[in-house]
Amino acid sequence: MQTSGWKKFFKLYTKEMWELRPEIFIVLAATLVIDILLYFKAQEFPALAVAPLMMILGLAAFLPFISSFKLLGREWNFNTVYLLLSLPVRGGSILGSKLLALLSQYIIGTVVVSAGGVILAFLLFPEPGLLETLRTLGIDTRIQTMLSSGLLFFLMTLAGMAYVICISFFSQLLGRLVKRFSSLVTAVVFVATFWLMGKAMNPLWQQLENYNQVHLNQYNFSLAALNQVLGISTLIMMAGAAIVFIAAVLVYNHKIEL
Amino acid sequence: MIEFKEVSKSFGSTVALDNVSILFPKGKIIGLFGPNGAGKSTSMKLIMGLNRCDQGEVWVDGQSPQNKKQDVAYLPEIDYLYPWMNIAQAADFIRTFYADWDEAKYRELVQYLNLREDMKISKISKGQRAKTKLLLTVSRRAPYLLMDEPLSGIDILTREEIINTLIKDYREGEQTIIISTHEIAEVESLVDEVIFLDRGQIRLGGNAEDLRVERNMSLVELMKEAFRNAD
Amino acid sequence: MEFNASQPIYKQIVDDFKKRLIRGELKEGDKIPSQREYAEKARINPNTVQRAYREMENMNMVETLRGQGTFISISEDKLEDIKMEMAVNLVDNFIKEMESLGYSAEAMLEILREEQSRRKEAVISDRV
Repeated sequence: MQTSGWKKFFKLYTKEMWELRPEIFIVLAATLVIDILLYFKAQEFPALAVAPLMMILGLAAFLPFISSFKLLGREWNFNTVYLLLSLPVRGGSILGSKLLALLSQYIIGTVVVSAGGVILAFLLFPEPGLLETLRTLGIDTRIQTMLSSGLLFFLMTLAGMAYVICISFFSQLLGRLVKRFSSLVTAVVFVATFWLMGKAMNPLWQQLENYNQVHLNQYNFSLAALNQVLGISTLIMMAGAAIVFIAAVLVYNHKIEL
Repeated sequence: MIEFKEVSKSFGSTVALDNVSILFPKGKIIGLFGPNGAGKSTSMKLIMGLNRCDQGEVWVDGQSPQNKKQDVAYLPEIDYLYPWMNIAQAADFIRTFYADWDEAKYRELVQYLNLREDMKISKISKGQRAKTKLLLTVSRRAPYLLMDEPLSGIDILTREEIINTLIKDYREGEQTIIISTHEIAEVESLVDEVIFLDRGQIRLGGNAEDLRVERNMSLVELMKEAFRNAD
Repeated sequence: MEFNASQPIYKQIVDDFKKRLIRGELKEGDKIPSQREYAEKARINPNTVQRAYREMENMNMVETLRGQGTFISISEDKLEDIKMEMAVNLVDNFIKEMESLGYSAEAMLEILREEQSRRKEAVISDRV
C-alpha cells in the first residue's frame, strides 16, 4: 500500500477535526437555540437580536483560538505526542493539519452564525424588508458588492485567525522546551511574539494607513479602494502568519524532545 | 544496524546515557536490561528520534533517526494512543502512515489476542491496552521494532500471549527487535543479544548463548553479578 | 521441554535430540518439527533454534530437504559415537564432582558397586 503525503495530511486533519467536534457542536447548538429563541421573542424589537447574535459570532470567532491550546497541549497531556513524533511526517504536516482544522472550525462557526443571522434578519424585518431598510440607510446592497467586500473582509479575519493560531503554536512549542514553568513561558512568548511581530509589520501597516487617508475618508470613498485595503491587510496578516508558522515548524522539527 | 557512537544524554542534572557506544546488529532480538533509570527508555527514544543526543551520534542504517522513522515501529512504555479512538480507528490512523502495514497480519492478530475492533482505548483493561499496543506495533513489517517494557504490569497469561506473538511473527534475519525490560527471566529464551545498562553505562553486553557458555550463568544471574561488581 | 537458563539453549536443544535418538524415540528418516514450529512450541528465539539445527546438520544428525522439512539422518556409527560421547560426558561430570569431594577412583568404584547392588535388592524387594 503506497501512502502519499496528501493522504497522511488528510488523515491528520481528520483526526484534528474529530478532536474539535465538541467545540463545533457547541457553536452549532448555541446558534440554533439562540436563533429559535430570537425568532419567537424578538418579533417586536428586531434590533434587540443584534446583541445575542454578536455574542455567538464572537464565540464562534474566539473558540478556535482557545482550541489551539487544547489541540496542541493535549498531545502532551495524553502522551499521544509519543505517537505523533514517531510518525514519519515532519512538523509542517503536523502543525499544518492542526492549523487547517482550527481554521475549518472558525469557518464553520462564523459561517453558520452569520447565515443564521441573515435568515433571522429576513424573517424578523417585515415589509419593506431588510434590503430596503439598508438601502434607505445609504448602504450599497448590490449582490456583487456584498459578496466581494464581505468575502474579502471574511478572508481578512481568517488570516488574522491564522496569525493568532500560529503565534499560539509557536509559544506553546517554546513552552514545551522547558521542563518547568511551561505555561508561564508560553504566556510570555505569546505576548512577546505578538509585540515583536507587530513591530516588524508596523511599516507595512503605516503604508496602508497612508493609503487609507488618501483614498478612504469621509470625502472620498470607493469600493475598489476598500477592497484593496481589505486585500492588502489580508496579505500582510498572511505573511505574518507564514513567518511565525515557519518558526514553529523549525522548533518542532529541530528542538522538540520528550 | 543501529549504532550509538559515544552518546551522552542528560535531562537537567540527571544523566541518562554517559558516553555510550553500542552496536545493535541486524536481524537479532536484543534485550536491553537494567534497573529503572538505567537509560533504556532514553536509548529507545534516541533511536526513534524522540530525543536528540547532547554528544555523540546515533545512526540507523547509516542515517539520522529523524529520516528513518518509517522503518522503525515503536512501542513506548506509556499509553500513547488517542484515548477516544477504538482499536479500528487507531489501526486506521497508523495504517495511513506506513507502507509496511500488513493488514492480513493485523486481522489475524486481533483474533489471536482476543481483541475486538470496536473496543475503545480509554475503556479497556491494562492488559488489553498492552495487547493493543503490541497489535499496532507488530502489524507493521518494520525492519526495526522497539519495545519499551512491553511486559511491565501485565498478568502472566497476557505476558505469554505477547511473547508468543513476538516469536510467531518474528522474521529471522530481516527483523531487528530491541526489547527493554527488567523482567529478564520472562525473555531469557527470547533474546539473541543482551546489553546490561546501569546508570547510563554499559555493564555487560554480548551474545546470550556465548555468555552462558563463558559464565555458566543465566541472564538473570549475569545481571545480578554485573551490578554487584559495579557497586 | 524446560530449559535451564544457565546453559546455552541451543546446546540443550541438540542434547534433547541426542537423548531421544539414543532412547529410540526418534529413528532414521523421522521428520522433526520445522524451526518455526519448534520455536513457537518451545517459546524460544527462532535464531537459537536455527543455530541448534545448523549444529545438528553439521554433526550429520539431521538433513534438511528443501520444501519438505528436516529429517533424522544418522548412521549407526554416528549414533554409537553420540551415545558414547554422552556417556563420557556424564561420567566426566561425575568424576569431577566426586574428586572435588575428595573421593579417589577406587572409592568411587566402591560406591558405584554398592549402590548398584542396593538398587538390585530394592528392585527384588519391590517385586516381593
